[in-house]
Amino acid sequence: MKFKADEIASVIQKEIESYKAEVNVRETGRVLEVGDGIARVYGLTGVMSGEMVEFPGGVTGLAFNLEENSVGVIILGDYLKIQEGDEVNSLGKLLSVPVGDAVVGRVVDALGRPVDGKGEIVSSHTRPVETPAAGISERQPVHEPLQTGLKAVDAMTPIGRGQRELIIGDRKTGKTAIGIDAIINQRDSGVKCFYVAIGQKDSSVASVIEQLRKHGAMDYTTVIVAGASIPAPLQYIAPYSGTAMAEYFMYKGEHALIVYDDLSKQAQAYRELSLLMRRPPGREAYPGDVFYCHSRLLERSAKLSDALGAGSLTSLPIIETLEGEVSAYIPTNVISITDGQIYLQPDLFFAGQRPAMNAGISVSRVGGAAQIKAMKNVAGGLRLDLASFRELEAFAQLGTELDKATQGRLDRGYRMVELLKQGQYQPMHVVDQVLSIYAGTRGHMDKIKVTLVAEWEKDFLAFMREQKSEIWKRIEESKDLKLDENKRMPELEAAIKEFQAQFAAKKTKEEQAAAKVEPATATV
Amino acid sequence: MPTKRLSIDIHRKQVGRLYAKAYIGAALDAGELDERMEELESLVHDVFDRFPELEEMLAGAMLVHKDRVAKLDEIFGRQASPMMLNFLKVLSAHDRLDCVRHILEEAHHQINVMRNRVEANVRVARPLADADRQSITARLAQLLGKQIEMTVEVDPSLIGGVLIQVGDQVFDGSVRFQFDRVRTQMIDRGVQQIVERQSRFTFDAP
Repeated sequence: MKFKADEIASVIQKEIESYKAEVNVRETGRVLEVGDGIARVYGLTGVMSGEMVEFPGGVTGLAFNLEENSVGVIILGDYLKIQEGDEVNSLGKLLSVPVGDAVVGRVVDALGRPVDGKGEIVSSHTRPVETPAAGISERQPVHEPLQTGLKAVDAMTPIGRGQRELIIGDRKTGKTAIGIDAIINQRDSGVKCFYVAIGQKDSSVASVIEQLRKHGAMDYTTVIVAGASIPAPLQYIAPYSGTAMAEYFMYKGEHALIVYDDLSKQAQAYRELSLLMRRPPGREAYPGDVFYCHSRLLERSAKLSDALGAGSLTSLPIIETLEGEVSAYIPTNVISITDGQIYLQPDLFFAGQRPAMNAGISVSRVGGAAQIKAMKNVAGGLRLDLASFRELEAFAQLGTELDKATQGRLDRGYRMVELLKQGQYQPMHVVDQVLSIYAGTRGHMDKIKVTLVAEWEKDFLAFMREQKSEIWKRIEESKDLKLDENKRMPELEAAIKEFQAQFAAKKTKEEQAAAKVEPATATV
Repeated sequence: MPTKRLSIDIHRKQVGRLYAKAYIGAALDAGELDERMEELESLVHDVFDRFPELEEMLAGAMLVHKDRVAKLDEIFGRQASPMMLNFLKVLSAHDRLDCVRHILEEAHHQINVMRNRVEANVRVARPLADADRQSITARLAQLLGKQIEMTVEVDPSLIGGVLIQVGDQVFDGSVRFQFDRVRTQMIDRGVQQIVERQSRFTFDAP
């Protein structure tokens, strides 16, 4: 493939012919000092807060602090080439990023510039990074479920489209994994996904992108990266850029999901900027408006009214705590802004319960409105049962004699905990989830050994899909189990009974085979 | 008219603004604004410019207020007006003798604002003919609705055209700017054309 030089020349010629010389009128200032991603500028008397300015060499900045004698500018780009005395021009517009289908499937930086080496992003649409959130009359209550594909989340802390559910926990407790699984599970749901990586190692982001690609999720996902090596201004702006890209789909009447990973890093970047700008520090040295920084971001997630197309933007902000300290400044702020939180604990994680969600203190304030009826039928009360099981378990460790009923509840609890474990990158269809949890809560697993629960579940779901597909399909279509007065579904009970027999037969066969093999191997 | 451009020192500028306002106020009350402005200009240009050591000595911390007042009396006692002398002594009392140049610049600016006049810095690639100078002044005066006080600088890097700065506003009609713009436009549009219709620019080698 070669370039045709004369074609290029003709484009340039047309350009020159149509060129009109005109006087450029602009407002200028001069750089007084520059460093650490910020510049102090003299002049620019007419500049407005949040307005874009341009430094020589095309680096842009945002007017951040308007003072009596100078303007504090945050530099969105390489600040090492800017010098004292450089001319700064105000551009008279707000920072915007490209939006639309062109950004889907791409990896971009905080300004919407591609970083995946797949060429320019050509989009006719842009959107200001900072926009006011939808008002009251433009919204409607959250009522459709957003399936994350995780049994523990979908059953106990259901997330609705337009909701903001915080994922909070210490480092290495699987916070990112929940976000990624939720994204992977949107493969057939038509929800556009956005993953904003703030202040993370580039290697971690690369592996997340690789996993998304491997599971086919990059077809509908945009990754916005502001890694740890990027100056603080871009880390601060990245979540707003991602939200602008996601909002485009919401206002178009589509559904979007955005994961902010994580907002503690963004708060730290904002703290860095504010302190460099000499804004007075408050609690934990964060500036006074760090709450506003997060509330105006998360307030942009919404379920729009039918008149506006009923689009939605669901957000999953992630907050990292230190040593489980949820009463620190940023965690309490974000907990109070969001509509619920999924709380992940390291001890559960290391005990093998993954996702390591603490059912007792995890909540979703939207609740049952965001669940299909079938899930509501089987999972109602599950969260409380599990929480009371945890209490009972602690009590049982004292070694006291237990009556039969208590022992029964303990056995059920061990099996439910086992059932709610789920591997990474293995989101489950909601009907499968309903069937599993039905079997668990209705006591069909009480006779199964705890170590065999995972295998039982796997075989059971395969059995339902292959041999009882009419029941499976019916639940999927009606989204309802149609329970009888005993809160049971007769056809499903029959199916489970049939499967129990199959499973028992399989186990006996395996045991016999093992018994036969053992002496043989012993002689060898 | 200030000839030397000061480097930007926003703190001294702010101090200058304050003292300039006071100085103008005092001069207006005495009814001798023009004379006092002339005197301040003469102080900076005829004295400080020619004897930088004197300015350094007065601005620095070498002398205490009492000694400085003695020196001021000795040097300016016979020539300066009583008001100027008092002004310098007040500056000395507040350790602000380093701000005299900023005070002059700010006073100049404030009087311009008072008289509906603006300073315009005109930069051109070649020295300006008188006729051009007048036409630029007239055009600017018409555009801004104010009298124009024009300074002209020759800057060959503009290549041609004219660049006028009024306050923070820049009217850029220089050839350098037009070249810059046409350059970025050509690159942008060229890239866009290539991205949009790649086939137009390529052919497969036979």
